Amino acid sequence: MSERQQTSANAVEVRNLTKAFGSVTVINSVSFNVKKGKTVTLLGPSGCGKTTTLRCIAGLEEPTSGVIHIGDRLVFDGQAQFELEPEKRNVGMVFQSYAIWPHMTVGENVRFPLDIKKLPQKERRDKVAEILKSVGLGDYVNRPASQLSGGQQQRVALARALVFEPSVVLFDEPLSNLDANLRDHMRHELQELQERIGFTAIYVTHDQREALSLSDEVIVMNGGRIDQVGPPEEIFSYPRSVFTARFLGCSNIFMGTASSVSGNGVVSVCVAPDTHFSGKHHGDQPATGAELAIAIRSNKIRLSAQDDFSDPNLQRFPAVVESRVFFGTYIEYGLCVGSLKLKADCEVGVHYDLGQSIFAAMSQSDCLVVKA
Amino acid sequence: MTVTVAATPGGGGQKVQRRILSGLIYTLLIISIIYPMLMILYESIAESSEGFITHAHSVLTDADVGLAIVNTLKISCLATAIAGSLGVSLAWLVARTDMPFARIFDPLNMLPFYLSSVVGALSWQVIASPKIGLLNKWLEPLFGASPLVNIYSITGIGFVLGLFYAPYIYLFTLESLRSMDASLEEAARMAGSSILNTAFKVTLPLSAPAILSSFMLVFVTCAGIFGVPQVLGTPGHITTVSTIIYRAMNDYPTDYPTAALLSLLLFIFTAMLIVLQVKFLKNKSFATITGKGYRPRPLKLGKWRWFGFGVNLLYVLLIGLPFAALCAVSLQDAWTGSFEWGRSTLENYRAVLFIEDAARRGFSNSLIISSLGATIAVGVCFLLALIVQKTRLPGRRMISFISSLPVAIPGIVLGLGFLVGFISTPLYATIWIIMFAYIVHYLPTGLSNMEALVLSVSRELDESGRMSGASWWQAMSKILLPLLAPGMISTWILLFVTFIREVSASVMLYTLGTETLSIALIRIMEYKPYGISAAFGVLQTLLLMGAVVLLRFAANGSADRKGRL
Amino acid sequence: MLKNFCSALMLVGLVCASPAFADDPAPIIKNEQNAAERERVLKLIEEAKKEGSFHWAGVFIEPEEARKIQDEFKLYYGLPDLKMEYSFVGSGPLATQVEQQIKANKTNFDIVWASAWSWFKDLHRRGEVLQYHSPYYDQYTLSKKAGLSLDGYWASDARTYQPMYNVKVLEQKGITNFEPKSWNDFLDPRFEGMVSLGDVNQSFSFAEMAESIRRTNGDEFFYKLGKIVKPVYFSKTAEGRSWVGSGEFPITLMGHGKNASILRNQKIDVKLVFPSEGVLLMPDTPVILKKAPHPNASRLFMDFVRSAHGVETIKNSGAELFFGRPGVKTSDPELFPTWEDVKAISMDWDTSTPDSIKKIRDLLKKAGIGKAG
Repeated sequence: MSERQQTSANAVEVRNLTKAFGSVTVINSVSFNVKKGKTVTLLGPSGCGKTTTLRCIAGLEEPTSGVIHIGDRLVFDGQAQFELEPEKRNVGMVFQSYAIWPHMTVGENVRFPLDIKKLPQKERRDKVAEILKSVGLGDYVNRPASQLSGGQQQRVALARALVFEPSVVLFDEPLSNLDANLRDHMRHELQELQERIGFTAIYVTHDQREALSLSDEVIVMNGGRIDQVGPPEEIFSYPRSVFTARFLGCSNIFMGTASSVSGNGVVSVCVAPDTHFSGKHHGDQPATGAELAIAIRSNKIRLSAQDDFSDPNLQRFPAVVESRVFFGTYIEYGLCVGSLKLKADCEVGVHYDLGQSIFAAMSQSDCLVVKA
Repeated sequence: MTVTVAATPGGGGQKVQRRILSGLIYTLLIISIIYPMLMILYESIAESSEGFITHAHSVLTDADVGLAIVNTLKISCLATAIAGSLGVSLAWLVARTDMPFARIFDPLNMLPFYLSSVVGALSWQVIASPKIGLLNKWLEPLFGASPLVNIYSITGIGFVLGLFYAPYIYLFTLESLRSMDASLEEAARMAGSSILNTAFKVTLPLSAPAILSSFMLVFVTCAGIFGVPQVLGTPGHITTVSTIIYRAMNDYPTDYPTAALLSLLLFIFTAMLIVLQVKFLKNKSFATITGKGYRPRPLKLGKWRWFGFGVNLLYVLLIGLPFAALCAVSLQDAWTGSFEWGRSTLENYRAVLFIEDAARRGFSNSLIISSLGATIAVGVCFLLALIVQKTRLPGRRMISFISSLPVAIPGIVLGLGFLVGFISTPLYATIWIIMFAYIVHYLPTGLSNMEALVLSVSRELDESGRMSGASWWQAMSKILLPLLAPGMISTWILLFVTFIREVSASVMLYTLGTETLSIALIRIMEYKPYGISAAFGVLQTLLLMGAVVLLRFAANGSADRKGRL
Repeated sequence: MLKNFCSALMLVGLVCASPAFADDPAPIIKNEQNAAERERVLKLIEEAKKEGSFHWAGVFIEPEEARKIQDEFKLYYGLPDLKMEYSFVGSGPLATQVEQQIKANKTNFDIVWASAWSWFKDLHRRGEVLQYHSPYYDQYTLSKKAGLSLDGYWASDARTYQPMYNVKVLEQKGITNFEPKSWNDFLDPRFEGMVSLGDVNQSFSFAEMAESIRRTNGDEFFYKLGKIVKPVYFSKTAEGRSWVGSGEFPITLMGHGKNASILRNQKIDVKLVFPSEGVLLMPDTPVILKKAPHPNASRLFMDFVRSAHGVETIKNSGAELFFGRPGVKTSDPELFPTWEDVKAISMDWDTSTPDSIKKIRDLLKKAGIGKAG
């Protein structure tokens, strides 16, 4: 057994993980840590390599190169050609399809990991009862697994992944198969359970709401690489790249060049002849003339028929209403600002006609300057 | 299993073990598939006294060989045409129309799949032999003495093969039609196309790849088949390539080089067709399967629905009536061309069960070979399917490829390969060499069934086992195995039935004492064409039906659980 | 069904009863006067008991007949527990099987009984026939006189192939008063499509038979036969017999007395013809293979089938042959004349070789016989 010298506070360490299927590289030198007791989410669109990363940690996929530690234990080292079998990694996993074994009862499903470990019968029974109770399925021990609803299956899967007290639990899009209402509900439950039991978790999802609400840290992945890492608020408020900005809901993104850079992080970006946005920049100071992009959330854009905004610091632009779509809680207006197309969400009740000339305004802090 | 060894960094133990395992599998596959074929090549080249070229020239220019090749092609074409038109139209009627009693016809149409075509040939002999066939006897007053139908002919052989291979095409077509998105057809109807037009312009072209590949399979099978051409061709002196291979082997002195050369020829022909089929299918599979599970509304045939009923009924009768006639023959002390109450007897059954040593040996040998062989084959195919689909063993795709090669080897060729390949081993002259040949010959069938089964279970189900701490082997045996059990039982039945009625490979490998059921039947038919053979055929059929019914029944219990998946 | 029951019951009875007689000497021992011979047989019996089983194969004796012969043998030699297997098989496949097993050095049967002179001579030359001179061989004087015995190895019976036809079926087709005397009487256009003969390509005994016709009637006979009658081939005589019986092919050129008698037992009126040119007495010979797994049971069985009692048993089983020992009374002189009574075509069997067989096969092929109709 290889013990590393320092005992780290990390439950999982991934270094330079690369995975290629033939000539296609799915994960390209990805590194990150997961601290004990924390939840980290791998967020990204399908095909970004997040699930493959998770499966590499689980041991279900053999990485092409890199090093993975779980706790203090080396589980994969590409250079040393070392690989630990999945069942020896002490990792629990909740699958996208839940993977509940239909030929067993709920109790048998949850007890399976304990059967494999050959724990004393009484201990098995107690642990199963306890974990089923905590996921709210206390009365379901003898129920055939094939007769469960989606939400119940999800809970059984969770119970099964937690029952043997693994050092980390992996979640592969666990909520994506549920309908919208149940998804919210289960997300809450998961959150609660996590707080109560305090397990370490790596969570894979393409849903930003799940990622933001469940994690201590979000890793945004794109094309097999990590795009940005940070706590949910930071990721949401200060995306660093066009990709992350777009993936986290910024619907207005304009490419341009830095026309002026001031010391306090305010950058003026020229996105079209005569059209400049000044926005806040986070991270390294860009140089003047650098290729940058401006990202603005559609709900941060204020509209007015006259140029009568109360805040004098707003940047304002004359705009023409081009389209109008009703979404229930808000109305999305499509605007033309010069040659740019802009989307702005507006509360129901305020009405502009198609073709009407109005004004759009946004604050400097809502204009996010991101890498192009 | 593997791995604890590998727990030291830099330890390549796991990789070494994997290599050993894959080396072992390769060795077994090469011994059982490649080596016998190479031996045929060796026999045909090295063993001929006059030199390969001279020998090949004299064999290939022999008029009898030429005739046999032409006969083989004619029979295969005819059989494929008959099986194809029956299979496709019946599948369409059952799957897509409101033909009456379609639900009852569905299993009945599959019946010949479980029966022996040799017994079918025997039954048709009773119906349509030129002189005393019932049909000819009944029609004699109408058409005069010249026989109207002659089963001892190319047409007769092709016809019987067509009847018995129709279920293969039926099954492929039915599956393809059932998995097809009904809206594709409905769109055609909405665009103003008639029922038949829709069938020919939309439905069938969409299933064409599946249907054509089943055509090709039937063609290849018929080109290499031995039983029916032997039974029906012998009286009418119709030879096929397989029967002249058999003849070259069953004469004194035995002509190994000629048999080997003809086998090689037959193998090259079937292999080419298979390659062609694979190439053809590569670019031509339509994605017609949708996730939507709703069943399409059947097409209304109107007044034609009873016509469809008639067509299907005719097929069932073409299978059933000869068998009924066979039963009648089996109950007569001598067959004179019509049933006579005065000649009623059970003597034939007594003879089969107590007098004919070959029949008795055939029963016990076949039961051992088939039940044990099917069990081993299912086990081997399960393991191979797991290795191909569930491991990262190096070269596992190649394993899958080599295992699928026997699909291109006709049974009689494989049998010859096994004979010349293993004659000097203790396997020779035992039932085990026959069982070995069966397993190898049906490895592609078994493996593709098992692979489909393994793939039908979401990989997450066994992965979640691994994540729960189960080793690879525990995950496979505790999770996958119980889930696949019903499907494995079906595969077992399929192989059992196939093994019971196998003729082509066994005819090369049996020795006196190790006859299989079908070999014993063919041999007894040579000297007891009616009566005892009929009784034997009836018993074999009952055995097959009994096995199928019994095991379906047994499998249903566990299939219920799978149904809830 | 009832019959099955009875035979099963009898079997049980036999098995249960046998220990009671265990101390009684077998009939062969009781009947044997010569002490030395008695000693020899007793020793063989002991050895055969150890061997436990015995497998023989033949081309003429049918399974039912074989069973009767076996049963009597077991009874006569006091070997009730000897497991006996019989295979009834064509001479071609039989030769293939034996040759394969010799090649594999793994013989799993003991006695082969066939009309295959050239093959047996070949086996003998290669040392594949067990040397054994049964004391009964010397009583096979007819066989010896005809040159069909090989001292120290075998003594032969003989059989014939000869025309046979279904009287009633021919009458139905309007052919009455058919009294054939010669092979040539069958070259009659009325018989087109009604005649069968054994497939010379599948069996060398059929080929040898055809060769004997060629010797008496010339090549012409087959050319005419092919042209006028267009006969079909059967692969075993029993197949030809069923065709005659069912009327499918009411005439066969290669029938024989046993087949005629079987059909008559089924109340089918058949006639057997002894052509004036003579018939071919083909050696029908049992030999013990050199590598027979049960040589002692084989020796005993060979003694039995060459003894007067054994020949009587064979005859009574229905497998009537032209027995190579004198003085056998056949059951029906019309169907089964004795060796001494029949006009035989003379044939030097040592001239029958694979080559001569190939020639006759080629001749029939050229004559268009056996072509698909």
